[in-house]
Amino acid sequence: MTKRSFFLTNILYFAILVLIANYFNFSQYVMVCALPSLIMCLPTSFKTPRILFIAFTLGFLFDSFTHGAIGITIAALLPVALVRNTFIKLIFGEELFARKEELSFKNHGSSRLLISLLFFTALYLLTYIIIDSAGTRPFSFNLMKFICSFLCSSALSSFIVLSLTRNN
Amino acid sequence: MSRKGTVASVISSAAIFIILEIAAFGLLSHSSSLQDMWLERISYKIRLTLWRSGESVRNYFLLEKQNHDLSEKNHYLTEQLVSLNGKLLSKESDSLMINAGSDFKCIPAVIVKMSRNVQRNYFILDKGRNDGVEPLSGVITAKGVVGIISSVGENYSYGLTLMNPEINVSSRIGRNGIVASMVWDGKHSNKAELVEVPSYSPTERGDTLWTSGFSSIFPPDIPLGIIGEYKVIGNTNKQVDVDLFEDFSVVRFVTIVRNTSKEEIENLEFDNEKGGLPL
Repeated sequence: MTKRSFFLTNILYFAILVLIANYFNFSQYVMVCALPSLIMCLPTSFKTPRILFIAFTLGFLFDSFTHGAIGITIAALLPVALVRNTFIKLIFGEELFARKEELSFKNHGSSRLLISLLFFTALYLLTYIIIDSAGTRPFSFNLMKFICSFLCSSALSSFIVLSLTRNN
Repeated sequence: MSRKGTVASVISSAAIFIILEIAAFGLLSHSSSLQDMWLERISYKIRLTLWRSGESVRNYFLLEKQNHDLSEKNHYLTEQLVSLNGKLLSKESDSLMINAGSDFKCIPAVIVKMSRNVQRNYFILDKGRNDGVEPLSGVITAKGVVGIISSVGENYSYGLTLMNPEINVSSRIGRNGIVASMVWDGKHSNKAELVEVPSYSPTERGDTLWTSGFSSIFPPDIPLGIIGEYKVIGNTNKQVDVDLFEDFSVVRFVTIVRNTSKEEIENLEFDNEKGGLPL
């Protein structure tokens, strides 16, 4: 995938995610969000500080275009950005960064991509739900919300990761 | 990348993360009152923990001063107690015996050196002749007797602790019980023995032992310890174990007690021993 098409695809997915967040509010227990997958699929040449700034911008734009409180998505997305390179090194090995390869469905297989995706999604949702509940909701509610949101978000994220890494 | 470069990169990433996270929470607290309250609660908890830790550290460094303050207060209370005991005795006794037992002067002091691991243990106090200390003054705390001053310098004094086979303290079992000599047991820093207690005298385990006031060194009714087990020696005497209130391994702040009538008492004793009764 060329740089330009990667950039445009990312914008497209971002727009779709904004639409989902605005118009697909089925239940209090379900929150669909696949922003971690966009962070995960950023080029491996990006260093952590750069990824952090991208996450901040993405989160800010997402909060601005949706009805959430501004700052909540940023706060949840920043931990994902912080551990992104470290976790990918852990799962895919140092050589991925040494050879300056991109994440690829063909080269690395689905299992490692899926593990990374699930980890980032879980981290994002966990942070988001804790901040969103602000200590006012019971643990059982938060747990249920986490499970439902995790299942839905992981399904959507898998599709996005697959499409972004398929041609690498 | 070198190790130094990796460390720098990690630190810079962490710093950027913290700054951006703070910015995110700042935005959040402005846009949502619920999250604002939550963040305030968290920040209050963090501040509280920091304040508590700060106070603990500050208190630790103030312990020395607090100990001195407590020692001063303790000295004041001991002085009051000795004086009141004297007044009480004079009321209980014959009306002609005025102020018996209230002739003790108290001087607060700090032990600057003390031996605890030899047979003849000694201590050095930070008060000397310039502070009004005299030889053969008693050294006490609120928990009991520490020892007797044997020699005095200008600013320091030297004494023998109760952990010494040569020191014995006249003591009474209970408020109105039998009087016997208490000596160190020679092994522990918080145990002593009552010697030559008549075997017929009742000694109950758990009774409190007090100074008798029969010596001119220590004022009466200073608590010394608790009576423990006893054994009969030669059918006539008992040797009674005593658990001292004072633990010599930790004692530091003490009160020197000087009997202002000691010279007069000793002169009287000396005259009578020399001349006997004028029959």
